[in-house]
Amino acid sequence: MRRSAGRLRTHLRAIGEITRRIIGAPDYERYLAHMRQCHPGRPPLGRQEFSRLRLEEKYSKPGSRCC
Amino acid sequence: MSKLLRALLWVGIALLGAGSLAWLALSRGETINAAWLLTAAVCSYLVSYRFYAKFIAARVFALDANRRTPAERLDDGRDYVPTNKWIVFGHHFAAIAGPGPLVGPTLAAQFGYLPSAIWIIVGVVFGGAVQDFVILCASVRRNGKTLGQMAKEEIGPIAGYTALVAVLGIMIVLIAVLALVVVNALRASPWGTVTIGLTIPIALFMGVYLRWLRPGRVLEASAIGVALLVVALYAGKWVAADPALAAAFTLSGTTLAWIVMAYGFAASVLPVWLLLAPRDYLSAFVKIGVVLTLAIGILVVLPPLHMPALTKFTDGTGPIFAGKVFPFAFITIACGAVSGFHALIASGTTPKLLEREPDARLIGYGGMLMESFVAIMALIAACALTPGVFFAINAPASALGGTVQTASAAIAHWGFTVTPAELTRLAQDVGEKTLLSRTGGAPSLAVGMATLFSGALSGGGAMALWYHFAIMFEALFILTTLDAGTRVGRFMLQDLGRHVWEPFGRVSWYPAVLLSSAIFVVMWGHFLYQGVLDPLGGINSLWPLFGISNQLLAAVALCVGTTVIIKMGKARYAWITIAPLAWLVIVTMAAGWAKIFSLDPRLGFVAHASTIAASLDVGMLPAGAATVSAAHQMMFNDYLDAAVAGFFMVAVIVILGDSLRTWYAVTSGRVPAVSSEVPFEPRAVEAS
Repeated sequence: MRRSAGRLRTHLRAIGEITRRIIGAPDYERYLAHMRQCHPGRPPLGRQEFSRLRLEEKYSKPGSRCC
Repeated sequence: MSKLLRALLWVGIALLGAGSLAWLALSRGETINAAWLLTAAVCSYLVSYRFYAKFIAARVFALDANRRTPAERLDDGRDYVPTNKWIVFGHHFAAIAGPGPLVGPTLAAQFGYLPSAIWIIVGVVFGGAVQDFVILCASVRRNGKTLGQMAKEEIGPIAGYTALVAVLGIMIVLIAVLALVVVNALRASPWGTVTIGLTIPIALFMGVYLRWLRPGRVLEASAIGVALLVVALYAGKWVAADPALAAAFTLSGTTLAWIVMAYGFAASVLPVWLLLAPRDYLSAFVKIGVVLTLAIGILVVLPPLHMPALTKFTDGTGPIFAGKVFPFAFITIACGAVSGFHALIASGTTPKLLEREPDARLIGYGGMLMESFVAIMALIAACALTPGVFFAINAPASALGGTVQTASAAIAHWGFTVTPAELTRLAQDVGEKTLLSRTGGAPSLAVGMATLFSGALSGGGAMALWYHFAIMFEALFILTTLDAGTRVGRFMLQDLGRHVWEPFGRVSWYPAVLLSSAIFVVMWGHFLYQGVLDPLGGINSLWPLFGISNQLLAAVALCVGTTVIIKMGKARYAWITIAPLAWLVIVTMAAGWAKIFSLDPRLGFVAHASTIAASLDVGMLPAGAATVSAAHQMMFNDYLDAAVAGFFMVAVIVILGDSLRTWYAVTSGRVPAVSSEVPFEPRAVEAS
């Protein structure tokens, strides 16, 4: 019982993750993982700062929106 | 054996599709079931994806799962992120799908279902999907370069700069016409106005929630937002039922136009996290939800198409927009068949996410097939209405007169029947005062969808709720294009303007931000305002301009695609992009020429201005103008529209000429065929 509840939670989390990426929400966790793996020496941006930069970028050039 | 079975299966699918298409084309009965159209479309998609897209993938680009993609090579955890192909597909589809494929087929239904059906199916298979796919591949092979950069580097600086200015022009026309669709849908509709108005505070609340209350909880905020949308739907109903409140929210077209302009300006200058981003999330969910619901509604009901295969309006006398079936059916339906705008997306975010090269086929070609399917569904929703109702909603007031009696008489004159009582009852059923002359396509699509949904999902009841649900989601789609588009347009304007005056280009200096936003809003606002005042309904002049501009962008994309293919040394396959390019050049030139020079004042801008001048000369005011200065303003607008159409035509010629020069140089051997692709790099060798 407990095991299946845990599995359900894992599934839900995976679905949530997929949905977030489809709608193009800033993916802070992915960024953190990348920074840890590739640039361990450099301090990563905070969540707020990262989201702000990602969104500014997204809405400053054509290519994210269509008719 | 299984190989034989598979071959038989594909032959079967191809025959079924061809048979359905033939049945659609030849059937001359009273009605034909939508199932034939769906079958023809789906079978064509399957066959073209399996064979044509695979051919392009293998022969032209030789897509290779062992070649490293930019996402892998340049992985930075931000732009370049290797992503599962189905997720990229969803992301790409959510980015390309907008109001375009819903509105275009609805308007083009005035010719009957057949021209639109053929163009949507054939256009996507050989044009739109090819364009998206080729540009995506070209961009993936060039580290995700944009269409503008590729035009400049592959063809030449002239084509590059022309493309840049053209994109700005297209944004202006696109935003204006979409804003006009929203204004026409909300005009004199307190329910719609309140519901759509409430989506703005809902987005602001989500923005605040994501910023301070629960940072990063996008799904949570979106779920709350969607729940609040339902509340907004009922709030609109409640307001519409209260006479005093309803009167306060019954707004005229011009008032709504000013409000929409103020909204666009606000979206351009406010921080993105506050308004744009949360609206976008909301819109993405609503978009996917609605496409699925529409598909279910159509599959469950399988409605008969009441619209004839061809109407008499193929001769150019149609009330919704003037012009013959050629070239205007091919201009009216851009998104859903070929949409140049997609090339900006296929060379924007998407190429930076691809995990493996062969995924480009599903995402580029397959994503466009999905969008085409949406257009087919919109066509079904329009043609499932009886022609009388369809024309009563979509024809302008100048053609129908102002009352249900005059409308019924005018429609009878066109050879369709609808009684005044039916029109009154339909308006009551959907909770509106009137449905007459609600041009722009949104109300008619909403009536079509409400009929389908209430039939399939609520057993024939709740028409009014379904109608306003449909209006809400269409407006939500459109406003997200409008607000993000205004902001992007502001940045493009700043980028161009900085060559003239450096401080104008500073993107976070408030005076420059306010000034550039205001200029851009005035640019599209002018077209919107003229469209609202236009006695012919506005859509008649603006939608063809939008279609021409969108097809112009597609021509640019196909020129880039052809150049890329020729420079790869694959000139023998260049027909893949040259064939749709030739067709688009023919239709844009023919349509642009007709819009400028046609002697019919309903069609030609210059002829229309001349009739105004002629009536002023004899001391009369033309229809729709209250004063002499208003008449002069109308003439100015005609000349402006003609100039814009002329600009788009010149841009096509310039870019095509520059491309031809490049192609000739390479194919004649004067310039070596050198591809600018990033050289092949194998994927990390795994120990095996």
